[in-house]
This record gives sequence, C-alpha cells and structure tokens, in this order.
Amino acid sequence: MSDVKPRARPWHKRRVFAFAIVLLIAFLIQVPEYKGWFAGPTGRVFDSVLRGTGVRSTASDFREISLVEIDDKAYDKCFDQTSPLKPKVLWNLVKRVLEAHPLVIGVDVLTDATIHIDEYKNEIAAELNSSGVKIIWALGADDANIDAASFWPWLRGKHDELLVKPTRVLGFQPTELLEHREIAWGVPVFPFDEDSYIRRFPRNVELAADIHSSSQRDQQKTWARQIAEEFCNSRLSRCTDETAEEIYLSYSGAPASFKMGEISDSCRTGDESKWDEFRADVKDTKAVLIGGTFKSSGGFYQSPIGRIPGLLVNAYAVRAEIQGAGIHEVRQPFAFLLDVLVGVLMVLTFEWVTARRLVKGLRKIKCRNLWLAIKLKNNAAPARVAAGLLLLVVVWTLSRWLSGGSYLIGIVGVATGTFLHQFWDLMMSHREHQQ
Amino acid sequence: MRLAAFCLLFSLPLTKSLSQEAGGSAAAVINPGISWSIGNKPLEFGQHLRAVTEITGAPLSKDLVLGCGKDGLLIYVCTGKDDCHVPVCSKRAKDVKIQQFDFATGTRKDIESVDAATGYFKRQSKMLAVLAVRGDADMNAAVLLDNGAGVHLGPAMKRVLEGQYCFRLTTLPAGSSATTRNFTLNWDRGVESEGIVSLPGLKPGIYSVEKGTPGNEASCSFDADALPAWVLVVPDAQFAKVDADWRSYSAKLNEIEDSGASPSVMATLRRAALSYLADSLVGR
Repeated sequence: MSDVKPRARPWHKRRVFAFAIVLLIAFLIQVPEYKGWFAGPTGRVFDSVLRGTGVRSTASDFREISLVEIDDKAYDKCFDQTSPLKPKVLWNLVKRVLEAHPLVIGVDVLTDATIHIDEYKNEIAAELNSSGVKIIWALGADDANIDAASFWPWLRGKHDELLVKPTRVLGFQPTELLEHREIAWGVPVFPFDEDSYIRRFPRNVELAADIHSSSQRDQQKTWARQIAEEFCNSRLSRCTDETAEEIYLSYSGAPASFKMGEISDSCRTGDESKWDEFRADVKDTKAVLIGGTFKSSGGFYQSPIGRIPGLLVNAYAVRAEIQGAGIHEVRQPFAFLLDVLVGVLMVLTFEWVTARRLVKGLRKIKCRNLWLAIKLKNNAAPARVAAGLLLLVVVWTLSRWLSGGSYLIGIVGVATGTFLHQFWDLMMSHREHQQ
Repeated sequence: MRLAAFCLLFSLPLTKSLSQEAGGSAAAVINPGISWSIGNKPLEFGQHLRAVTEITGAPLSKDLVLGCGKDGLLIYVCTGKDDCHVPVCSKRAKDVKIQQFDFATGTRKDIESVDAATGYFKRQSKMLAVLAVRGDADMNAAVLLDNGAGVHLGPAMKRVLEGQYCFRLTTLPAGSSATTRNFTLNWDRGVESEGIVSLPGLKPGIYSVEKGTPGNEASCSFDADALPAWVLVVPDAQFAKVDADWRSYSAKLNEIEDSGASPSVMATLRRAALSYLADSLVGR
C-alpha cells in the first residue's frame, strides 16, 4: 500500500472539463428534441396552460366568434346524409347567415367535388360579388406532406414545412382561382404535435402543384388567419400579431354555437328557431364560422380539452389570431446557445467564487450586496449544491412560463444534466480531499 | 436585478421578429415553347408562374423552358398522344420528357445565390427567335479571356472558317442604351489560334457578338438573319474558374442537345448559362 495521497485534479482542468460536459449535454439534448421524444412531457406542461389554468389562459369570453354547426340532424334532414354537401343547400345557409350581417364568414366546408363543379361556379361563385360581407372558403388538400428538416439543417435553424397540393375551391382549380379575386380562400390546417394533440397552428402553409418533386412554393395564409385578418380589417384595427410564426391555442371558454336548424329558413329540422338571438349576437360584431360537426364528417381532433370538432379547433385558432396570441419560435441555434448558457450558469453556480471573481473583474460589481451573493468557500459543498438546486428550481419554474415547445425541455435537460455532473464532481472532489 | 437580467436573457429571443423564409424564387417562363398553355391562355415569355399552377401541353408540345430557382432550368416535351399536364417546375410528370440543367456542376456550390431567370431576363428582353438552323459559319457562345494581350476571341470561333472578318460587340440588353465596339480580325487558326484582338477599356461581362463581311472604306455588312452569339468576357484573375464552370456546363448542354433539343432551346440554355456565370462573377 502506498501512503502517497492521490493528486487532486487542478481546479482549472476541472472547470474546462465541466464546460466540455455542458457542451456535450447540450448537444446530446438536441437529438431527443429533434426526434420529438420530449413531445409528451412538453405537451402535458402546455396542456395545463392551454386548458386555461395556466399563465396563458385568458378570462375572455368568445366575443369575436360564433359558430353555425351542420350537426347530425341537419346533415340528415337538409343534406339527406350525402357528402359532398349539396351546394345549393350550403349556399342557402351561407345566404341566411349573410342576412344577419356578421363582419366576416368562414365556411369550413370543402367545395371541390367534381360532380358539383357547375353548381359551385354558377350558383355560388357567380353570386359572390353581390354579397358585401367577405366569405372565406376552405381549401382542401389533394395531397399533403411534411417536408421534414434533417438533423444538421434543423440544428442550423431549418424548420419542417407543411406542403399542400390544393384542391378546387367553389369548383375552380387553384390556377383559375388566381384570376377570381372575388373568391377569398384559406387553408384549414390541423397540425398535430408529436403526441397527436393540436396545440399550435402555423400561420402560413406552403402550396405547390407538385409537392414531391418541385421546389416551387406559394405561401398562403391559413384559413383561421384569413378570417381573423378580415375581422380585424372590418373593425379598422390591427389585432393580429403579424410577425408571429405560430399561434398557440388557448382552449379556455367556448364560442356561442347555433345549429343549422335553429337559424335556417329553408331547411327545418324541428329545432326551435333562434334566428333573432343569432342575428342579435352576430350583427356587425362577430365572425361566423360555418362547418360540419356531424359524426360521419370525420372532422374531430384530439385537443387538451378532449376530442372536439375541427370547426371548434378553428374557432380557437381564429380567436388566438385575433388576440395576437402568436409566438416567435426560438431558432434552434439560439436554443442551443441558451441551453449551453444554462449549463454554464449551473457550473458557475457550483463554482461561485470563480463566478464572483469573473463578475468583479468584468463589471466591477460588489457581489456581497446582491441577490444570492452567498459567500461560498471552495469546500462549502452543501451550500453549493443548495445553490445549484435553487438555480434548477428557477429554471424549471421559468421554463413553465416560456413558450416554444421543444425549447422548453432543452433548458431543463441541460440544467439537470449539468447539475448531476457537478454534483458528482463535487462528491469526487471531496473524496479526493478526504483521501 | 440579477433575476430580471436572467429573465430578459431568456425572453429576448422569444420576442425577436423573424422574417419568413422565402420558399425559393418564383418560376418564370424562359422559353414558352410550342402549344403550352395555362387554362386556355398560351404561355408568354417572361411570365412568372405561381407554384400552384399546372401547365397544359397539347400532344407533342415541346421546347418549354422554365426557370425554377435553385433547381435551375427545366425543359419539357410532351410525349403522349393526349394533352399532358405539368405542375410548375415538376421533375416528374406523366407522358412528359423532362430535362434539368441545374447549374450545380463543376466548381459551383453557391447555386442559390444567383437566380438564372432574372439574369437572363435582364439581358434578353424578348423571346429568342431562332429563324433557322444556321450553317457552320456562325459564332458560338463562349467564355473569353481578357488579359494584357487582348481579348481571346478564338473560343467563340470554333466553327468560323479562316478569313478576314469584321465584328461588332454589343453590350446587353440590346437596345437604344447599348454600346458597341467594332473591330476586325484576320482569322487564321493555323497562325494564331487564340484570335487575340486588342480592345482596350473593354469591361468584363456579357456581350453579343456579330460577325460581318468587311466592305469598302472600313464598312462592315452583317447578316440580319443571323443570331448573334453571346460571349462572356472575363479578366485573367477569374478566367480559370469561370472557364472550368463553362466547360462543365457545355458538356451538360451537349448532352441535352444530343437528346434532340431544338436550336431555339439550346440557344436559350447557353445564354441563360452565360448570364448565370456573369452574375455570379459580379458576386465574387
């Protein structure tokens, strides 16, 4: 047995090693973020927020939007349970809503059926100019694809893109639509997070006649955004956040909803008429969204408040647009740097004396009067761990308040990983001292 | 204070305004070809096309050339007995022969920095009309070295027979604002294969060059039906790289020509390629 004490690693080597570990953890954390493995936990955090119990919830009632639902009864009695929906009956419903004079109407019903082309063109499109109120029609997808960014481009900031090959609208091919400016249209999208829930909407969709082999793209606003912008324009206000890249949906509250049978004059379903109530509700104040909520429509989606019709999802999206609840996603290079920064902060927290020297040297700030200016000594291990834990709690807490999806877990992952490494390093250091 | 700074640090990137990424340059009709249309409207030279557009070609329609941003130029020929349909800048379509000239050859890597269609339209303001297949006496598109000795015209005279000629160099785009330089050359590749002519003060860039027959008292008569060749004059320092790129392009262009592309398409492609090289030359 040798009685020579093992040499402790020099302090500067330990720090260099610690920063190298931070970089490694920050890099490794990018892989699960890219793969979407954090979607579940991240989603659960956001669900609590989006249900209306979190920081982004608002107490707002749905002052801006009302729904007109084509429910099962209307689908049965007015449309004879036939899809695609009969153009004439649909147009009568839209005209009825027009009589109530809302600010804007969104029709979430596809009008691309080839068997009805002439009816769409001759009975609906031909009458659009005289309607006065803007009607935003939904455009369907003949084909859709996510152009997924591969890992390295993603790390440099490239995003996945939702590509859509558009269908006809009111019987007109997309090419023809360019010449029919009187037909306003948008793309309704239902983008799932990696865990199949809908929480956030893009604000633009990329359109192309060939989404697989052509690199050409037209950028088109989503249906919800089109409606929101028209709504705001008609109130002579700018209420959407033009610069946001995505919007987060707050699922708090519910819009006023009317069944087709309650307001229609041409198709009776046996429901009591609520025409006067509807007209008073929407006249010159609201956007009205019309769409199918009948069971066989297939338009139901998973959300933080359960499985709901696409029409309702879109209502939340329109409201989010109107309220400017947009987010600016942190670009991945920034996110990576912030991850690293959190790790560095964690290391500095453990090495507080070094940090204080650094701050003093750079900023000439006396730390003893500042927050958390705990006089830690090199071997004050419990205090250092406590300070590290405190930073970890701060990061966890702050991250709940930050938007940005994948960005969220990255910070926490790096903070936790670095904390564990520093804790382990501290223990090893103590063992070396004791020996 | 410290906490506030920490919060600010994290919130700044979240509120940063980020511009939308462009989805690439808009497609443009470089050569409208024969019997191609959108709806019932024939395609037009220089027309910009939205990505959702579908182009229809009558049976055996040909010579359509589209500028497709980073995908370069795409050439379409309808091969079926019925109408064919081509989504804008698609590389796969039923009953359509599609060829791509994508500029991404040779030493070039910055293929997204210059839009070939824009560069072409800047110099070619109307549709290129090739009246007929010319004889071998015409000049050809080329990259020309301009060094201390003068401009080396030889590469543009591969098919020109030996003899005394006069030439006219015109800046592009042709028109009232264009300037010209005239000169003569006794072309004898056995004596001096480079065809060096002294043109002091000539700026690097693209010119159209016409070959004429010298007349009396320094006059020169040009063939009005001949299609002027485009040449790119490059200074010594940049010549090696540009010439290598041009050779690489030429090999690819020859492949397309061998596959049966029309003289009109080939002239268009060569001019577009030179425009692209000229514009990237400016950026270097």
